[in-house]
Amino acid sequence: MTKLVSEPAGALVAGEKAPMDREAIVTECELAAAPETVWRALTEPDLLAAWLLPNDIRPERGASFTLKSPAGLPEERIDCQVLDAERPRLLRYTWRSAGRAGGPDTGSDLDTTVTFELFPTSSGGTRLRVSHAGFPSSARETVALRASPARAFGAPRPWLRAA
Amino acid sequence: MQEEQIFRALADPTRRAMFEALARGERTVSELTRRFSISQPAVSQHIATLRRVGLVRERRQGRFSRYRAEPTGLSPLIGWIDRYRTFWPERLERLQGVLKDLEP
Repeated sequence: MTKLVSEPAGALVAGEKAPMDREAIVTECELAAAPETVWRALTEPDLLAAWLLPNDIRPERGASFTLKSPAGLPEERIDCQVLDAERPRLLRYTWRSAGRAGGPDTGSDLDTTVTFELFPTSSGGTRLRVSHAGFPSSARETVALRASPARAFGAPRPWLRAA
Repeated sequence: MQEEQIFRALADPTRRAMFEALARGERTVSELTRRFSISQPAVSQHIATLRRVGLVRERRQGRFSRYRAEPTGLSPLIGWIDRYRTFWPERLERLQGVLKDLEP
């Protein structure tokens, strides 16, 4: 059986590489396929296109590639660069929204990072965790703050302490 | 696109902290200068950037201007983030279908 778990809105991930003050969207699922097979689906252009987006991926550290025409997203393309590629357990690349539909191409402004982590399960399958990180967390925090001013002084805010 | 500009405005840690501070109450430039230990022109520059993207509002009071955060200015950015919140679960459902075809 497959299971899809999405973290609640506003989950902060204190990852080793994600800065503390950035918000991540973390989605996890359990897959029956072995990590090697899942790795292929993440790194072979035809297989990746079948579930994510048309692309010219090369799973080598430093390699640049492009994801095209995301349906349901406002971008025309997403420029990526591989930061980590450790078969078959870790793939991480930059995710830069570019070429906005209906707007000028201003380049790499919405600059985030996507990390795929593959963990083997006891049944021979894979637990896959996808973390899309780098969203400014103050967006949601500030809205929450406005909705409930009392909360403003409750939770620690690392980026304020650092300021 | 507006969300790009908002994203860029908040990418700077000092501006982000400034925006958070202004979400708690009105401040003048000199109050912000004291709080953030940076020069007054630098504070004014940050405020101008935040105002340009609609995150901060100015209120004139005599010789002084007071500034406060405009939380609704974040809506485009939140919409952008939320699209990704639905994007990944949908795509991972599709991945499961692709994997079923790969393995017997």
